[in-house]
Parts: sequence; C-alpha cells; structure tokens
Amino acid sequence: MGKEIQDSRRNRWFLLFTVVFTGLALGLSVLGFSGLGTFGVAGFGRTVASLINLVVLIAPLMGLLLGAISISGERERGSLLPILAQPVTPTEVLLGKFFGTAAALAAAILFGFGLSGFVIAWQGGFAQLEDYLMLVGLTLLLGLVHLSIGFCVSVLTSKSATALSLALILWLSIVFLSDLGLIGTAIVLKLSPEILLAAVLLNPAQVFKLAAMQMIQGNLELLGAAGRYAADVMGALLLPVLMIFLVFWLLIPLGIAIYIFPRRGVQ
Amino acid sequence: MEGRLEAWKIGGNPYPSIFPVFHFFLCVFVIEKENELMNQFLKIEHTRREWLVSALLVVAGILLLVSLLFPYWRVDLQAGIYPKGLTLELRPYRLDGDIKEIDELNHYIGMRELESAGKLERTIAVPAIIIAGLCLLIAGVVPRRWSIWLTLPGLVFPIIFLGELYWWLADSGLNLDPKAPLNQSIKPFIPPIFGEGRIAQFNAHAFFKIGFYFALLAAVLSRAAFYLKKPEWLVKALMIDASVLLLISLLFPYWRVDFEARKFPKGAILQIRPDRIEGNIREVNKLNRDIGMRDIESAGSFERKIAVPSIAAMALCLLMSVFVPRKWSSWLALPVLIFPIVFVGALYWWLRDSGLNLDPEVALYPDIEPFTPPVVGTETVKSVTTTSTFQLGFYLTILTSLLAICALLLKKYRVFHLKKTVMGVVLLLSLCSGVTTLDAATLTVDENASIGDTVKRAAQGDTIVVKGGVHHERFVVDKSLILIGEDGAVIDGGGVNSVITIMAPSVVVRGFTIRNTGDRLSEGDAGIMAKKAKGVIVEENRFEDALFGVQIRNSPDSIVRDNIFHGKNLDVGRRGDLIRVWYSSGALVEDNRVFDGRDVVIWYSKKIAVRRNEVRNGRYGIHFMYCDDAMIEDNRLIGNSVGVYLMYSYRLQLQKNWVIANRGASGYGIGQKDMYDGLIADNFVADNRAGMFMDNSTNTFRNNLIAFNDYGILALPSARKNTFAKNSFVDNGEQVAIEGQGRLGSNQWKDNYWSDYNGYDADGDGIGDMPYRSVHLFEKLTEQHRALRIFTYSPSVQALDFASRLFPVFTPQPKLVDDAPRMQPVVPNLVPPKGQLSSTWLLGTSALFLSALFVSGYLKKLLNLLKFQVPPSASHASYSTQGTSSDTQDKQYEGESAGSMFVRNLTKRFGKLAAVDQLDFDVSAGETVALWGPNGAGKTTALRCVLGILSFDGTVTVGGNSARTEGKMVRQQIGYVPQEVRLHSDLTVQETVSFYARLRHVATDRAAVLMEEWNLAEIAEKRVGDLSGGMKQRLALAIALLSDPPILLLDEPTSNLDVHTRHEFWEVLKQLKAAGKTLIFCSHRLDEIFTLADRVIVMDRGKKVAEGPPTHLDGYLSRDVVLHLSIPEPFHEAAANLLEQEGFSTKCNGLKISVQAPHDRKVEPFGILAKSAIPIHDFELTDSQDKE
Repeated sequence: MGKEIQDSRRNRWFLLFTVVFTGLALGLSVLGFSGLGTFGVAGFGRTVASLINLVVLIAPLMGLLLGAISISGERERGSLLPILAQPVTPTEVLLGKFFGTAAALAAAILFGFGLSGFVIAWQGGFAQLEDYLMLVGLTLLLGLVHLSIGFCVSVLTSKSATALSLALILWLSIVFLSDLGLIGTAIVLKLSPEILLAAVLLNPAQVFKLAAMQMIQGNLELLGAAGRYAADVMGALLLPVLMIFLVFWLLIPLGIAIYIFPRRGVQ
Repeated sequence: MEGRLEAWKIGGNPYPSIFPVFHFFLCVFVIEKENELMNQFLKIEHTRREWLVSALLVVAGILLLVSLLFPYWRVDLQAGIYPKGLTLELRPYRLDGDIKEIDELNHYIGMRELESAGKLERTIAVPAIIIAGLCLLIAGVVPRRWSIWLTLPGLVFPIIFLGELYWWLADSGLNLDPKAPLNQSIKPFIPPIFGEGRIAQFNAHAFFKIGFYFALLAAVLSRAAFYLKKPEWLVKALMIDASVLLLISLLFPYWRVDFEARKFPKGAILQIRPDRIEGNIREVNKLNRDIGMRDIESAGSFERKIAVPSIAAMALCLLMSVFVPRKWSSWLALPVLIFPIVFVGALYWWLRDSGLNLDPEVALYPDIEPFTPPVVGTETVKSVTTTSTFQLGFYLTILTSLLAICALLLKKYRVFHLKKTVMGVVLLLSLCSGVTTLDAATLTVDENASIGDTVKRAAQGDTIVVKGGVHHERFVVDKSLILIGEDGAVIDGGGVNSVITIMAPSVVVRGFTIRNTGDRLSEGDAGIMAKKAKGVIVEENRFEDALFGVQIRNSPDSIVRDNIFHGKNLDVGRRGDLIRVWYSSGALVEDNRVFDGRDVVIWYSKKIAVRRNEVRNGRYGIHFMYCDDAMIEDNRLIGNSVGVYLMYSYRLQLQKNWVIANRGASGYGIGQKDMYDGLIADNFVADNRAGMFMDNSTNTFRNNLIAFNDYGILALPSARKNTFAKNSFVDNGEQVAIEGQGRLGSNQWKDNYWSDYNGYDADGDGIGDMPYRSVHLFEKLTEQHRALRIFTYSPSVQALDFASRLFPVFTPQPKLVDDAPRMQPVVPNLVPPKGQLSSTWLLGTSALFLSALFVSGYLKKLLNLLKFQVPPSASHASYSTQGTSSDTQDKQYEGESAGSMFVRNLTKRFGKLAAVDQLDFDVSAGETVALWGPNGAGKTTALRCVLGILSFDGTVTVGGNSARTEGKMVRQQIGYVPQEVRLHSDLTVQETVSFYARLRHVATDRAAVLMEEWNLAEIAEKRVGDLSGGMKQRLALAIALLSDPPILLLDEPTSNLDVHTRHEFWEVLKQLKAAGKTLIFCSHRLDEIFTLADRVIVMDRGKKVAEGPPTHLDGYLSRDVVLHLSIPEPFHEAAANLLEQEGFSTKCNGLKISVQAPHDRKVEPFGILAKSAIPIHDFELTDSQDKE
C-alpha cells in the first residue's frame, strides 16, 4: 500500500525509464522501418528481433533497479517506519509497493511500445498486431519477474547503495555473464543441446527470449539444435511451459520477499 | 491431334464490295453537279461572322497555350526484361518516363540517347508555342484584315510537330551505331509514331496525348476561323489542307490485323502502310505457313515501292487543280478522290489472292479450304483469331478526299449542295462503320442447364457461354471448345474428384468460379485437370475450396493466367498444389493470385515463364525442378514456408521477385539446389529465415536486395563459384552463414553493400576504401557448436562479438571478403508500397497508450481493489471522524478496555544482544507513562515491539489484541510519533496527510478538519522536506491522531525541538492527556517527565529497574549534566586541569569547556574556578544525553 508514495516517486522513475525505453524502442522501430521507407517492405521480423534484444537488455534492468531501491531506499530514509506503524500488515505494504512499482514499470513499457506502435501503424502496420501485443505482454511479464527479484534483493539489504550494486551485478549476470559462462562451458564440455537448454531455462531473460521467438515466429528454428530440441520435446506445450517458468520466476522471489520482510521489519 | 481445322468462317462484310462503288459515284456526282449555294454562304451576316471568327481564334489560342501543360505523345514499350513495360512521354519541351532504361536498351541496339535528339526544338518549344498561341489570341482580339494571317503559326504547329517527331524517330531508328552489341541482329527501322510497332525486339505502342489534341484542335479552329474570315480563299485553303493531310497520312499506318494465336500468347500484329509492312511479320508468316499461305512480304511489293512518289504526286495534282486555272484542272483532283478506293481494292485483291492460293504441300493443316481474309472484321481459323481494322492513315485519305470534294464543289461550280452532301457523308460513314459480326457457333447455357451436356452437344471449336447460376456438376471436355462463364457462373464439384477435366487441345476456360473439389491428394483432385491437352488456356477464373487448383499435365504451351486460387482449409501438408505444371514445356503462368495452398509446382517443363503471380500462405511459393531456360519474374512470394525452391535446372532467370516473410520449417526465401548458370537479379528478399539458401549451385547474383532475414545467405560449403555483385545485404541477423564447417572462398564477392561494413570512403567513389570482412566470433562458434545458436539474439552475443573485435587474438578468420564494398545499397527497381496508416495498428497502439495512462493514473482503481484486504473488523474499529474515543469503549477487547496495554516478559534480541529483556508493565486507559533510561536502554525497541513492527518474545496486548498476531488491530489503536520524523520529503503536507488518512481509513473531511486544527492548512502545499523540525513534529502528531486513536506512542517527542517549541508541544500533549488519551513516551528529559508523566518506568540495558510516579524515583532519575563554560582561551588548560583534579571529566570545545558533572555536584565547578580566579563569562547546562 506504499504505492501512494510510490505515486510521487514513480514520477521520477517513470519518466526516466519511460524516456529511456521509449527512446530506444522508438529508435529501433524507426530504424527498422526506415528500411521500409527505402526499400518498400517491412523487416518486422528483424525489428521484432531487435526489440527482443532491447527488451532483454532494458526490461530486466528497469525491473531490478526499481525493485532494489524500493524497500531498501525507504528503509534507509526511515520513511518505512511511519508506514509500518499504520494499521497495515507488512505484506500489504510490500505488495502495495510492488504493485505500485509494477504499475510504474508497466506504464513505462506500455508507453514505449505504444509510441513504437504508432510508428509501425504509420508505416502501414506491416505485421501482425497480435504478435506485437503478445510481445508487449511478455515484456511486462519479464519486467515483473525482475521487479520481483529486485524486491527480494531490496528486502534483504538495508542500504539502497548495496541493493543497487547487487541489482546491477544480478543484471550483468542474467543478461551477460551467465550466457557467456554457458557459452564457454558448452564449448569446453561440449554440452548436449538438452543440457544447454535446461541451463538456459534457468535464466529468466533467456526464457523470455525463447517465449517471444516462439510466439512471434511460431518456431525456434533459428535457435539451432537446442531450440529444435525444445520444440520437439514440448511441442505445443512449449509456450505454456515457458510462461510457467516466467511466472515461477515472478512468484518465487516475491514469495521470499514476503516471507522475509515482516521478519526484518524496519531494520 | 483431334479435331481438324475448321474452315475460316467469313463474316458477311459488305464493305469491300459496296464502299468503293459508292465512293466512286459520289465523286463523279459531285464533279458533275452544279448549284449556287456558295453565294448563300457568302451572305452570312458580316458582323456575326467576325464575332464567330474572334471567338474561334481566342479559343484556339487558349487551347494552344493550355496544351503546354500536357504531354503530347507517348510510347509504351514492352520488353521481356521489363514486364511492367517502359514508357516514354514527350512534351514539347522535355522527355519524361523511363528514359534511363530505354537509353540502356537503345545502347544495346546502337540507338542514340533519347536526350540527344531535338535538343534545339525542345529549347525553343515553349517560347514558340507561346508566340503561336499569342498570335492566335491577337488575331482573335484585333480583327484586322491582316490579322488572320497570324493564325498560320498555330495552324502549322501540329504539322511541324508531327514532322519533327517523325524525322527524329526515323533518324534514330535508321542510323544505328554499327558498333553496338546487338547491332548484327537488328535491322534499321522506323519506330512507330502512332499505333503498334516494333522497336528492335520490343513491341511498342505509340499514341498522341491530350496536349497534341489540344494543339490539333487549335489548328482546326483557327482554320475554321480562316475559312469564315476569308471565304474567297476557302477553295484554295481546302485544297492545301487536303494535300497536306494526304502527305501526313504517310506517317501513319493504313490498315492493321491483330492475331490471337495460342502460339503467341502476347498476340501478334500486322500493320500496313503505303510503303511498308510492319509488326510481328515473322510470327504472322509462321501462322500463314501453317495453313499454306504465302509470306506476307511477297504480296504488293510493287505497290509499296511506288506508293510514296504516287501519293506525293497526287498531293501536287490536288494543289494544281485549284491553283492552275484551266478548264480541265479539276480532273487533276480525281486521283486523290479515288485513292481510298484504289487502296481498298488493292488490299482486297492481295488478301484474296493469298487466301485462295494456299499451298497444301507446305501446310500443317492441309485440309484447309481456300478463303478470302476480310478487309475489316474478325475472323477465326482454328485457334487463330484475326481482327482487321483501318487505321488513322486511311481515314486521313478519306478526309483528304472529302475536303477535296468540298473544294471542287465550291471552286468549279460554286455549288454547295449542303443537304445532299451531308446526306452523302452520313450514308458514307454509316456504310463505313457497318462492321459485321462474326457468325460464330455460340451455345448458351442458362442457370439451370447442364454445362456437361452442352459440352457433349457442342462441335469442335464452338464457344459455350454459361450465364450465371451454380452448376453442380463435373465434366470432361474432350474437344476444342471455348468455355466462358458470365454473370458469376459457378461450377461446384460437390467435393468429389476433379471438377473440369480437359482432354482436348486448345480448350479455353474463362470467367468461372470453380469450387469444392475432391480431397484426394493421391488422385490430384483439381478444379481444372488438363491431361495431354496442348495449348489449354485457363484464365480469369476463381478457384475456391480447391485441393489442387489447375493441373497442367503433359500439356505444353498452355496458359494459366489471371486466376485467383483459394485452397482448402486443411493443414498445409494435406493441401494440394493450387497450380501444378508437369511436363508442359512452353507453358505460361502469369498474373495469378494464389492463397492458402500447398505449393505452386513447376516441374519437368522447359522454357516456361512464371511471372507476376502472387503466392501467399502456402508451403512452397514456387517449387521448381528440372526446368531449363525458365524465367521467373516479378512474382510476389509472401508468407509461405519457403519462397521459391529451385532444383536441378540450368539457365534460370529469376528476376524482380519479392520474396518476403517466408518463415516455415526451413524458411528459405530462395533455395537453390543443383542450379547452374542462372541469373538471379533484382530480387527483393526480405524477412525470411534464410534469404538465400545454396546447396551445390553455381549462379550469378546481381542487384538483389537481401534485407532483414535471419540469415542473408545460408550456404552449404558445396556452393561454389557463385558470383555476387552489386547486391545489398541489409541488416540480416547473420549476413552470410555457412551450414556446417568450411569457407565460401571459391565464391566471388564484389561491389556488394553490407550494412555491417564499418569502413570509410575517403576518395568518395562510392566504394569503401578497405575490404569488407565478415567476421563474427559468435557465428564462428556456432559453426562449430551448433547448439550455441540458442543464444542468438542475446545481448551477450553482441558483447562477445564486440570483445572479439577489441582483442584481435580472438578474431576468427573472415568468412568472406568483399574487396570493393559499396557505401550505399543498390535498391532494385521496385515500386515500394505506400505506407498507409493501418487502422488496426492504430487501434491496438491506442489501446497500449490508454493502458499506459490507466496504469499510471491507476491510483483509485487499484486502491479500491486493495481495500478488500483490510479486514472489516478493522474498519469497524476505525477511530475515525464519526466516532470519538468514547465510541470505542464499547468494543470487545476481551476484558481489556481500549487504551490499555499489557506487557509481560517482553524480550527482543538482536543477535546475542538483548535490547529488551523480560520487560513487564501495564498501562491503563487515560494514563501517561514515560519510559526513562539512557541511550541503549531499549526504550525505542520496546515501543516498536508494542507496535508489532518488530518480532519479539513475550506477550504484548493492546486493547486486548496481541501485538504479535494482531499487529494491524493494535496499530489501529495507536498513534505513533517517531523520534526522528522521516516522512517522504518530496510529498506536500496535504499529500502526506491524505496518504496516511487513506492508510488509516480516515475520511478526507476529517483530515481536513485536523489540518485546520493543527494549523497545517496554511502550509498544505509545502513540501515536507522544507518544514522546520517543529512543524514536522506537529505534522507527525497530526498524522498519529488522524484516526483519533486511544493510545499515543511518542518516541523522544521533543528531543529535536528548541525550548519554545518544546513547551508548545508539551501543551498539546497535556491537552490530549486531558482529553483522556493514553500517552506512552520515551524520554530522557527530566523536565518532560515531570511535566507529563503520571508514572515512569525506568529502564537500563533492556531491563526495567524501577517503576513509579516521577516524584518517587528521584534517585533513579538523577543523571550527569554537562556544563558548557565560556572561559577565555588562555585559561582553558588551567581550568581543565583544576576540574579534573576534582574528579570532573572535561572536554575542550573551541571557546567553551564542557564539564560533565553528577546531578548533585553541578555547582561545584563554579566554586573551584572562582577560587583560582578563572573568569567565567557565561555557561549553559545540558543533559548529558542531549545532543550537541
């Protein structure tokens, strides 16, 4: 329920992230579609691919940072105490803050996609709107997953600086380091596609990427053997399974945060 | 071959026999007759005539000027490599259209560049025309005797234009550059000025445009004005006009035949001018030979030789007939008058002679009977239909003839038999236009009749017209028939077998909707199944719910054109091929639109052309195998699994196709396997999984735009010796990928554009100064470890590639090197679709925006959603506006009244440290209790435990509610003021109060009242961060009292306040106490305790050490004080030494010395210092706990 406060603070974060995300998404669609202007036909697939890339990069960062500073920041400033002293449960406070931050995040993402969508519409809407909307939905989910992870970090730390550093390290790990590590491991140990896939599925950003590509392209052919393996094993269940993975990634850190928060209280 | 040739059916065409006779008698009649109507004409009122002349001239002038705005002439070229055709448009002052392309073609045949001709004319055209137009206007506005001669420029302008144009065309066509690449195969020629013709190997269609017609009309009007103005010149002027027209007629064709023959799907034409024959002579000769006719050129060669001098002579004679005033001179006009008749006669004779003298030895069809081809009209022989018409040139000779007649009438006999002449002309025209219809055998099938039965009844070559209706039947066509569907005729196959089976050659099926075929893939159930039927034409049909659409099997030279196909609603694997051409060389598949089928199959057929088709949502857009020398051009292959898959063929030309968004299982745009010596050029390949896939093929790729694909080119190492030049690789996920290990070294890459090229072009020649190298570490890794592709489109991959560039030791060998990369993409000559605003996208996007707005302004909604989380009991327990604290007395707190508190064994540990240890105390309603103790005594912790925001051991109940399990209920009863008020500094006071009001479920009006009461209203809009400490404390207290709770917990409430504010605050607390609130506060200020507390609980290191009224606890409450003594600096050291000797601890602090003294010894330092005569200027006394 701390979302009222969030309301104001959101303004700042909302602005920052909206500007960053919108700018990037817009730039991408304009660039992607400038091809249209020049050559006559959409590279929607390509634009979406770039969008996926952008989303994988930005949405986790947004989620993690927003989440990380949420509780720890309040705690550090001491503003958590007056709220907790009100007739609300800590879980309510946590969830309220989560929903508030989630709303800010969602607004930023929706705004960014909305503006990019206008560019696409202006160019004649060469692609499936449903695909685009699904990508938006999936991006929201990815953002929330990382928000939830960020909250978990935030609940565990007392200082927002610590929380931010942790969030950045997590972001680096999720987006870059784990992949690079896996690439190295796969080369050295010659991991089989199934093991590689299993390892990749532990990374929410990669799960998002798989889900997005499956949604939009209808297959994971592009992802080589491991992608094909995923499609073969899970078949039509692939997308639901990926979504369930993401939902787990959303619920588990949030659950941990909910468990820990009342026990740590204002400290 | 079944069905022998039918005889030519000669339409009843009276024209050739009647017209010449009539014309001859008319001419003789006119010359012999006399009358005096000329005088009547001269008697037309002079002023009216003047007025009319002026009007005509003004209109003419305007028309001529306006003509500048429009093009004058245009020629359309049909060249194989430009299926959309080329256009050249001529205005007097400039050339428009596809000049570049035409120049390119011209270059090959050695023609000069278009712009090189007529430069001077184009430069002076505009002023010349303006002058001519102004002359006309002046002539109209200034009616003088001389002014009529100003009409001359306007009059001659169209003639000059025509002459110029003709000269220019002839000059270009006849003077070919002998060094041109194709010069050997091209004979000099004169391009057409009007009508069909050929320019080298291209068909041309030339015609005048509105600009010229304006100019022409201006000339005619000015001429009419001249006639009116100068009646005495009428005869001579008419004769001059007639002779000029006769000469002009030489520029135009006189007669023309159009041939429709299956051999020549594009048709063939023959055009006759007085001096030559032009058109598709070779093709027509071929057709002629089939029936044993002689070659065309053999006839009338003598006539053609003498034609031009004769006509010139006739024109001269015509002039002489009026300008040489002799009695006999009128007869000089006779040749012109009868010239049209002579021409028609000669033509007729020639046709008849050819038709009647067939050579059965040569003929393909020896049984054909001799016949006379028509001079005008449509005829059909077997599969060849001819349409003969007179052309502009001939009509000009008739006009010449008519003008000459008029002139003669006026001149010689001053006769103008107006009525008779008009009647004669009308009769003449009606006879001329008496076009006869073909007496074809046409059978009509109405809605209820059976097409199949009619087919059985029909004879070879008949036409069956089906008029509307849905015909539930399937039938076999076993003779050469033309089936035409009109008014939406539908043939429904009932879901069984093929609908129409064609077993005879030359069958035409046109204009039907054919639907509901069977669904047996093994049998190939089709809408139209042609078996061993040469030259079948299937056009302008619509296929719905068809397993296979059209199957052309062993039916060479067949045509599938302009049809629309919709497949069955099945999985793609179970669908059939909507177009399947099988062992049918020379077939033509064009302008079809194919949706939701499996493949378009083109197999085992040589020299086949597939063009301008659109294939969507199928498996293989085009599946192509064993077809040498084929041309696939200008197709749109969009959204299929594979765009076009090419296999086992030589010399294919694949050009100008759009291959887009083919992303099925293999997802190739253009797949090639064992394809050799082909040219793949000018294609637009975008958004496919792999733009091009190459397996064991060697071809030339030029000018293709390969963009936005996951892989631009995906090649097996077996793809060798391909040449890639001037292609553009734009933003493909991987520009060139190798499937399996290996390199693409034997392929040539030159002059391509690469969007990931990061070189520069210092010399500005459009070519990058350093080679393009395709180097990507990740791509290299995936070649060796294919499972790694799962990381595609991950930021880590970009990081990897970036790192590899920074550290060359990781840089892999380049996949390919392009030594001369272009700086700008080469975009094929494509017409981009107009980007129109998509409404669905607009809607969807707006929805996104709305949701963004909703989410960002979501407060109320979400709050409402969350309200249910607050238990109803809590809201009942709300101590809000409606209730005073007395209301709450009624609440059931299980024996404890509201405002009371019960604490037993309260213990809180942080790690090993017990911050609160076994603390017991009770507070009854309305009591004011202080927690006293030094820092770290555990007062604050105890308060937080009571609030239930820290976990603890022991029991704490507030108003009967357990702080541990019912924290929320407990906090409902407590207003809490923390020691340091840390509210959100960026909110305003108003916002802060509202926020907490909502958290406590307090109505907004109560909050407003409270703000008034606490003097907060005037600072409502101030940000909390900007408030003073006192105001903050006041705000915190106001917030604590929002819901009017029975208990207030205050943690060191005045520690941060100055004296004045502190006293104010105490007053407020006293009032609250008087109002019956229970107050519990921590403090280490004695004055505070004595002012407020009823009872004090003394704490030390977490434990309660004493409890009682403040007056009884004097011993416990004593504590050190700090004296801050202002002593001059020189005495500091001495003072400190003296005091420390007496057991005080001191600290030097700038100008002051701070002395810590027990509560009961605080006067002693003054005595000690006074004894030593150390001056004390001032002092201050503070509590040892007070902050500096």
